[in-house]
Amino acid sequence: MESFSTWINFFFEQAIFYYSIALMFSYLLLVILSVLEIRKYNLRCWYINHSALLNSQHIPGISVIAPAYNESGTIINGVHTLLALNYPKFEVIIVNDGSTDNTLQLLIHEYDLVESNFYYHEEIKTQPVKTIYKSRNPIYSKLIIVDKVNGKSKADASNAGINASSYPLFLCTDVDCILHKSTLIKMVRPFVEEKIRVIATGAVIRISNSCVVENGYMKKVRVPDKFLPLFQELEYIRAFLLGRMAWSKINGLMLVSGGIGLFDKEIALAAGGYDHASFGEDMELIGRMRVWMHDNKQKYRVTYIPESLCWTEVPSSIRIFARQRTRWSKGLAQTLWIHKKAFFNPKYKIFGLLTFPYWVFFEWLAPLIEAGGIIYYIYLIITGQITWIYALILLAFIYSFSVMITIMAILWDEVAGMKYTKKREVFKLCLAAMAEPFVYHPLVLFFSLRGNWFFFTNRKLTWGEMTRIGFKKKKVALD
Amino acid sequence: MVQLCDIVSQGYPDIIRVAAFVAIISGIVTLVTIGAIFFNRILKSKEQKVKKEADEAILEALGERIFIYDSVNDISEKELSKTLKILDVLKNKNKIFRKSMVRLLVYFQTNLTGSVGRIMNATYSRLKLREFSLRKLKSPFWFLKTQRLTEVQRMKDVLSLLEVYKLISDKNQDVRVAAYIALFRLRARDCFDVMLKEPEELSEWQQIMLEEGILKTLDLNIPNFNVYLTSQNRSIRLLCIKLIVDFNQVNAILALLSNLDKEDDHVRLQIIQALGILNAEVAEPILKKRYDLEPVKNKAAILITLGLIASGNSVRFIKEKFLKADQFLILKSAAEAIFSHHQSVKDEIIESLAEITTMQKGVLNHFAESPNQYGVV
Repeated sequence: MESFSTWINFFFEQAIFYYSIALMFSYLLLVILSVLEIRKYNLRCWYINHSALLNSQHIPGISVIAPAYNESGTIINGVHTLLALNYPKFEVIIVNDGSTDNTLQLLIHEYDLVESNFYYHEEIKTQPVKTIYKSRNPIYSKLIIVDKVNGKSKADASNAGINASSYPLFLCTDVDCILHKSTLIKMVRPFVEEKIRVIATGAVIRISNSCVVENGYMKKVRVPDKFLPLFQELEYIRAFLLGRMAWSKINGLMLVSGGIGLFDKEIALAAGGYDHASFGEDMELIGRMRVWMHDNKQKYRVTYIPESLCWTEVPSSIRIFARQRTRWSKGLAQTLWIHKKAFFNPKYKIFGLLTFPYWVFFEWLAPLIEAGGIIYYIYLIITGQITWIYALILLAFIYSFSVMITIMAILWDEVAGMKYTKKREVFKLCLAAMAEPFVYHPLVLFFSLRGNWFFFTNRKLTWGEMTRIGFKKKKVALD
Repeated sequence: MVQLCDIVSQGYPDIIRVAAFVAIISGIVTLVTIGAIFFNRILKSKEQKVKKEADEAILEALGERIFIYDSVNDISEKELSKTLKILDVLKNKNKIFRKSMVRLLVYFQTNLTGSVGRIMNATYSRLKLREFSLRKLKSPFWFLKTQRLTEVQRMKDVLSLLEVYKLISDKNQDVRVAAYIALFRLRARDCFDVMLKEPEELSEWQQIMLEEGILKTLDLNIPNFNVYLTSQNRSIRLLCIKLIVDFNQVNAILALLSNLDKEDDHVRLQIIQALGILNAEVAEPILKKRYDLEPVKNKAAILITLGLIASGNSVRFIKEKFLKADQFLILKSAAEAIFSHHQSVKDEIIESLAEITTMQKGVLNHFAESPNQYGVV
């Protein structure tokens, strides 16, 4: 018993400390790599001429796929935004995933839709497609509506969209996302710029909760007012501008978010499309595409661009936030388990030797270790073994480092685009960064543990509906 | 903070000392970063203010003293030197003013044609802005060189040709590509020969930019691109195929066909598609002969090409491939080829397809509704 206690003491006092140091070192590396990648991107922007692409007949076509389930509040504006994208060769495929509200009726009415003879070829197995609609109005000739039986996952609806798509690239997004009008032209850049085949590209997603949106168009970007969205904004800036840009630099990206991702259709199909049983289908698809490329000995890249091109509404209530984070956490555990053969497998190069172990040790394991550490501290306090000065120093060590990383992410955001016009808004973000470790991080930790619990106990988890405040309501309030 | 510093220097356990040290450094870096964020903001807003001021002053000077004239010849020498003096003062005010001056002159030169464009060019020359820009061409940074090369091509600054030639052997490929584009825009005599010597593979993007540079230059002496199909550089051959299509060089068809045996899958695919756009009837027997040797993507492209040519000589071939297709891409491409034919031929083919599967019927209905709209290109 005593040796066990000694081992526990050693584990939490020594091993965890070195684990934290390794984690921090990895964050520092990510900071350096991301700044190099952002700088490279910004410098190339000086020289890149988008009009050449817009006028070229050799540009690859893009199918924009947006699944919709009970989106009657946002569907019309969402489709308008997608149809207004600036790109010479694209189509918009809206997949009505068995909505129980009047989403389909609204679409039929607004866009003058009629049943079409469009031939739907099921390359990836999905729930049955009932009807495909097209507009009688030629100005909506780019629009295709796929009406299908509900598949109880976004993956199933996205797969139906892929099946219906005609172009070599497809962009997956959500109808409630507000895309920048240059999204396609900017996101296609890596596909034509790189000499190695690019299989997927992502861009920065921002939070639209407090933004001024009119008819599906972003009028003014604002820092979220509410507690949860504000901290999620910080989290998004950190994840997209530090993490993903850095991984993009070394071709180690393992996640292109479901909100906005451009994919090579041929490879996505070869890999089997989205896994409808997965709760982290976006990450799982990238994992599978990467594994497929390595197994078939093909060179490839997965890239990210540091531009904020997509605004989405995030949960502002604890109930929805809890469901989302539990799902993400379970999805992460699921994905890592599915692709476990890549773990430290030299065959998968950076993906197997660096990215995958990083996700295992520093993304999946971190909340479990942190929770263990908190329990150990409580045990020390109860048994009176704690040395308060040491405990406070260790707390200061973790706190100051995490705040530093977040503040650096805010700086990178300023360098990459300076989205907020007022200094006051940036100051608010900086203040939130200081409060985050105490008020927001415990929530994230709790729901991560919950997701892992759901994974290990194989408990059922449903996708559920994201209750959206919507911009219509907000506009009324603004008026 | 002072306590943390004491801990680092006193005899605490190593772990605690390291933790305290990291905490101090992190605290300092955080404060410096916050400072940098706000300093950057203040700097940027100041810059914006000066830029706005510069733009307004330069636009006012240009509007009042240059845009009122139709040609440089209409301006008296006295008036011109007075105007240049005013612009020169603005240019020398500071770096932001100079940058604004260059940007606005380039903008007007690019977007306005005729006499105003020529006035802008003359102003650019007389203000000796070239000298400032020449410094950029000699810079060790690739992005400054490409920026200057863009200025050169937009200002049609032929006097800088010699400097541009120096950059065609730059070690950075983006600089070389920008130099090739500048040579096209300045209509240099040997611009194509220079580009075709490019040692590295060009990306799709670079090919598109070069293509645009060639297409947008008026009165450029366009060569027969089939000559360059023998280039050792694969991407140059791909660019030539694009240009053959753009300039509808039907005399290159035979050269394209002879390259079919030598090229890899992707280049062959591009050739097959080009043959369709060029309406190369002569290619039909060769493409049909090659059909079984090609990968699925190229087979599909052959069918679409035969459909585009629509000579009537390949009807039986397309029909056979449609009926025997075991892959959806082939079925869809064959159907698209059928629907590319003239209405009477198309009707005849469809009537002759007596016993077809539901899938085949579905694909035909798909194309019957919106011909070629969903075609695989």
